Amino acid sequence: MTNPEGPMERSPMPQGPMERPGAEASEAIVDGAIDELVAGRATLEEVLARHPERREELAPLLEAALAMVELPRMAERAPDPERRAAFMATIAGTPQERPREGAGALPSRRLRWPMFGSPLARLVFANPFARLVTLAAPAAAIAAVAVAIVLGGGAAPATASTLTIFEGSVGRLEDGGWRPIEDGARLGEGERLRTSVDGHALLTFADGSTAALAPLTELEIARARFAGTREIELVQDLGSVWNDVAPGGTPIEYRVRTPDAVVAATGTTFETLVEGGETAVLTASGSVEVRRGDERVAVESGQAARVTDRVEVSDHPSSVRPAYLTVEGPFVASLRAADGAATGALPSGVVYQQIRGVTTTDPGEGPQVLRFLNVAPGRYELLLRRIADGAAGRLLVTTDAGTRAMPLTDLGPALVVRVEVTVRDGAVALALVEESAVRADVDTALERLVASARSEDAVPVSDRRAAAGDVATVEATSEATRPASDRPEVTATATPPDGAEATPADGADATPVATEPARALDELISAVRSGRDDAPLLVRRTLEGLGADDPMWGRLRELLASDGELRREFVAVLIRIDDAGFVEMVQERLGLVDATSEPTPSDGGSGDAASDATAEATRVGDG
Amino acid sequence: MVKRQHRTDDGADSLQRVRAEAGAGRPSSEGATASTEAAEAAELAQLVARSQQGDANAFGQLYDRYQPEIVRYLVYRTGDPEAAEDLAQQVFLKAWQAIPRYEDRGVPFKAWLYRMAHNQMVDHFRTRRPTSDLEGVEVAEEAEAEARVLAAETHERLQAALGRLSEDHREVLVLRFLMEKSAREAGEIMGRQEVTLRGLQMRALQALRREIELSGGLS
Repeated sequence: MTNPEGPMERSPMPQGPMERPGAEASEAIVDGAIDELVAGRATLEEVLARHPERREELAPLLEAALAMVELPRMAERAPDPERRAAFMATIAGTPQERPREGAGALPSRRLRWPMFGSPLARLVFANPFARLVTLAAPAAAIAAVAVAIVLGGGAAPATASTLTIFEGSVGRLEDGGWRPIEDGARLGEGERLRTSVDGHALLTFADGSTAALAPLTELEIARARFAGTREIELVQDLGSVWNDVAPGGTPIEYRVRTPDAVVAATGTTFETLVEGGETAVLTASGSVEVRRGDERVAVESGQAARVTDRVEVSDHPSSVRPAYLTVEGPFVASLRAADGAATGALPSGVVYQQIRGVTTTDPGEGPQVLRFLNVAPGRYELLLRRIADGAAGRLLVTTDAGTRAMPLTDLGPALVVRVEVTVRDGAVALALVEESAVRADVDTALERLVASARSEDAVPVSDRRAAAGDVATVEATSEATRPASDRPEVTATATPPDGAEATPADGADATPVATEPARALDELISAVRSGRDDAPLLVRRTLEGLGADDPMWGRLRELLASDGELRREFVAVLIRIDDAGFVEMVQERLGLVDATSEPTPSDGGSGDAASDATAEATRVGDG
Repeated sequence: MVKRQHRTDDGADSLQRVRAEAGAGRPSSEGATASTEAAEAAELAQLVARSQQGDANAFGQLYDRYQPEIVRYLVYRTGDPEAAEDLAQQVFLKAWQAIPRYEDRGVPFKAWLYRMAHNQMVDHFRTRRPTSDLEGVEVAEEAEAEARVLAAETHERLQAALGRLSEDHREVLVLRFLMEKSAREAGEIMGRQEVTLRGLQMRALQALRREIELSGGLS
């Protein structure tokens, strides 16, 4: 403890803490005890002796506190002169962000990138999704947007969206000043918002589309109309917004206008980053169009675009490799972050994606797959809701180390699994711990809000699975509940590389996944459809050892013949496999005469299957 | 039991002494008079105001005053002294850019810097392997002899337990125990009321205790 002036005053110990309500009194005692222990003014025994009636309650906590006190400390040192000189040189050429007091107050010139020594430069430039280094916003562009906002009004619904504040605070521009807004506020067109330095918030629009605002984000709801059409336009001047555009029967125009570009989407998930007038876009699912002047560039799932003088698209938007959670059995999953944001689905069929860096497939279309990419490490909670009685299921965790299964044997209506997300050696790692079989009311207010907004077009997952025959679920669940002695032999589909640390869940079944044929085919299809990075590997492992007369070939051939989109995606995956002999064999057995030139039934684009397939191969290849 | 010995070096203490921030710190020490505190607060306010007008030299003085502490915090949070130095540079660059927007609405300047540092640390871990909060922290010389043999394993287990806590719990423990902030200061940094922070730190200790027990204790 560094308190050179001498002992600290006793910290705000309450007067007569025992007269206060129990919990609050304990908190005050612990608080005072921490100060004393840290300052070395008292020992653990001395503190406990003053509160004999609470000894049993306090002792374990204060022992933990004492352990913290005994941790080693580091000394502070004055800044390194070279580092300081580099810093001062940097800020000399770096503009400041002036408060918006009208467009004329904005900086009007682009300035050069700040130049640090190499370690910091690496940090700043290594990942296009690291926060952008600030350049000055072009005043003309912002002024034009401001004019458009003023003049482009019109009749707008008064309560087009609802604000949920997860953390920190959010301000609303009123009479030239920022006034704090309450959690749950209803906001209409023309509202300008700003999150605080620790502010995390979510806008939920009337159609269920959401925009998650990161700290220090400033935007305006320029348009939000839902009468006969769906039209949402956000003007984002600063910060990061994770947009989840609700699919649905009514066509939607969802635009994010930044100082440099307009990002347009029709049903997708994407992130827009703006700092000082420079824009970056990451498409997590679906596709968006980035417009700058006359230039229009499609940014597909897994791609990034950076808008400077032009739109630059990158095929490698992340420096980390993703991880996946696949839900097998009669469950739908919803992942919740500590701040309250959620990504997942409800039994009603409503799908939502509010957590930055985490996307989900629609469980009505097959086993639900959650993909973790640029996600904040930490502790999350996966809520699994049962949609059919009786059967068990499995959670598959796919990471760099392979695929592992955690059985879901609890027969209750819902189950909570703790998910620890870390980033290790450039890859996302997931660890699972089954927590409990849950409480009665599992819905959060936020889920109810989204469910209410999106329920119009939703069809219950169980209905859609039943309509589709639900082969995967039925087989997986009957498999999981069948006595072990009746099960087919289990073999691994993925084995951790030598020396690599597998990531089995704490307490989870570390048994590698079984390759029972029907399930293996389903997993393969799921990987291809969702554009998983391990799809080429999975295709190869699943098909490589099959005999020419194996029924899986016929089943796969039928699927590809009946689903043009799947066929196109499968071809794209095939192209990524660097083994000509294997690819030829697969082409022959599946009747893909020439995967690089054969027109695909549903490409609907250039008609040039080779270029389309190549484009697809690029789209899914973000690792 | 033995009362805790201070284990930071003299240089650190002298820095802390110089850097005492009026109005935002723990209760006044005996040597600090109200007038001194007021003068320091006025000096700080002036440096912030000049920085807001684009005065780089004034911001340089703020850098000198707070960079060492922010680096120390980031070392505790990242476990990587080199990364902490780089992250601190980014924090101060962002602070330079954003300081015209800074308004002291109950958030002292130092707390504002801490919040930026926290956000920078979170961004850092989005793409990098997190290490235990305290890995890489060099124990001060005088502490090494005392702690090396008996405490190393205990510290390792404690660090592992800390690593399993939620972000809020880790943050409050680092601020209270390692950065030696008062409950009020920690609350300002974390954007919580003091009374809320007391509850948070209690829950953090409970969680730490649970994690320690789950891993078989510290000894």
